[in-house]
Amino acid sequence: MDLCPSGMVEANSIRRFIKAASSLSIDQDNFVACVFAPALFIAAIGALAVSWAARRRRAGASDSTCHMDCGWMMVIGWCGSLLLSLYLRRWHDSPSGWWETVTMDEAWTRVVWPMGLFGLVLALRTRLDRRGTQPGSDSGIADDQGGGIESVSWMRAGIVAVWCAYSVMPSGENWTDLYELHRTWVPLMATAVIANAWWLDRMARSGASSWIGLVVLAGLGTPLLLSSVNYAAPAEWAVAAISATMVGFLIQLGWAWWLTRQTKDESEKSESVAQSVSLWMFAFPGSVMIAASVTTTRFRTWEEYPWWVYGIGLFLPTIVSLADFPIRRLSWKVRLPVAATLAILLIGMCFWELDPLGADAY
Amino acid sequence: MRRLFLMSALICVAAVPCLQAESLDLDLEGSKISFVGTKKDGKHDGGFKKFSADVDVNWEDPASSTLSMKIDATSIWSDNPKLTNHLKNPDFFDVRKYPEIKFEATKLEPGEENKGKMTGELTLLGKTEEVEMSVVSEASESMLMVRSEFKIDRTKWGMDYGQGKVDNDVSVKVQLKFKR
Repeated sequence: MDLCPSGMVEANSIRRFIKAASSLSIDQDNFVACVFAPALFIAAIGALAVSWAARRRRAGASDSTCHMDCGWMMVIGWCGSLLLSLYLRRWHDSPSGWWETVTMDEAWTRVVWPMGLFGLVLALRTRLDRRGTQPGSDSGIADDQGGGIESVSWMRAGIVAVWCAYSVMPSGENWTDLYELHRTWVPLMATAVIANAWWLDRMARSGASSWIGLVVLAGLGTPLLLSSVNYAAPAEWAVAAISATMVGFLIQLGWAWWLTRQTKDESEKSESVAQSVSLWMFAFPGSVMIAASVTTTRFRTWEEYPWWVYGIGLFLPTIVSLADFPIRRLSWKVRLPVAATLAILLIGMCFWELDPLGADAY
Repeated sequence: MRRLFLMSALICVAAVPCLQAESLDLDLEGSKISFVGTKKDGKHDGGFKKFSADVDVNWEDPASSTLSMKIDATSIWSDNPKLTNHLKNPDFFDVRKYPEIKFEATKLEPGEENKGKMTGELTLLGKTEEVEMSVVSEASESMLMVRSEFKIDRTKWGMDYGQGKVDNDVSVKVQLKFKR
């Protein structure tokens, strides 16, 4: 871009950029909007978040404060990358303005607002529990390490999960024949969001925080498959979510590694650092994205898929976490392959059933 | 003389309906709307099973005849069940939001023999665009058959999915049979 002496970017340069972007082929456009742009956006936000948190830590801020700062900025980055992807993919052909496109055009795009708002609010209010037995922390499963979410946050999570579920339900005179499905799918989607986030939280607290991002990525597999054989736009959005999650996951690993090198106090385990980022970057927003994508497909397909395909699509992170629970005290060298094998098996079953590349493919 | 005049007037009055437009009923069994979508490595056939057409034929002045059609978009079919499912979604016809496709003829230009040209407005995905097509008609005492083959550019109506992989031009064949 050309820069005037005053530092202002010339309007002609922007117009040339837009014109060049508009001339991309469909594949190039998909790559830029669904892979490159979300990844770049969250990488930029992640770099900002990590450098900000590191600077504050060096300035003497507590690790809790640094964790929160990194966590909520990554949440914003993740939601922002999805919005950016939607903007880039829909701005070319949307007859309405881009604001209407991302807020009202279709039900499944509205979920990003409660998701982002909740992630932001909770990330700002999250406090780490050093020990799992502290009052206010979740009871039940004993923790191996510190970190977690206040129980009152789960109440908020439940409310927002229902809000997200209602956001995704299509309504209007063209959908009256499917209104009876709302009664089933609102509680189902809300349950899936909370169950997945809760069980991912459990995994994070039992030493798996550095790789629950992979579980979320696997959880997006079946929704992507379902969308790809029905309606392309949510599938593209799922690809954007995968791209953003993958980059965010790498940033999280880097941040945890860096902090391990900096931390001298053994009680300040880097796992607890990674947990805060993991939980709010992956657990809740990822759970919402997974459930929203599956629900969107249910309302927009004219094919009858078996109930277990939807079940796997909605609850894959929960299933993997449940399988991990008996072996949670073992090394990650055992847990990770078990989780990966189970996830691949479940996604493989869905792939076999949906058969996107088979004889009926077009 | 007066009786002769009155008789002539009666004959003229009786003859008037022959000069007026005649409304015909569509014979759905003998009518068909189909299309062919193509891509680099193949093609797919499809069509619509449910539609209605209203025609008022002026035999004396065919150019003043009228034709309008309504197509039930949810009745779309194709040669692949998965494709049919996809065609109904917002990537293509978005049948939930736009359950009806309309066509209204605006101009009829009779040509040689039974051929002619028809111009009309096709409303698809909430957007109305003009289309031109050549038509061939065949009439008998019991029926009127109108056939047309033409191409449309689907992107004109905002159907942009798969550009570069799925061809924009779609061949459409219409056969309408009316009972007299």
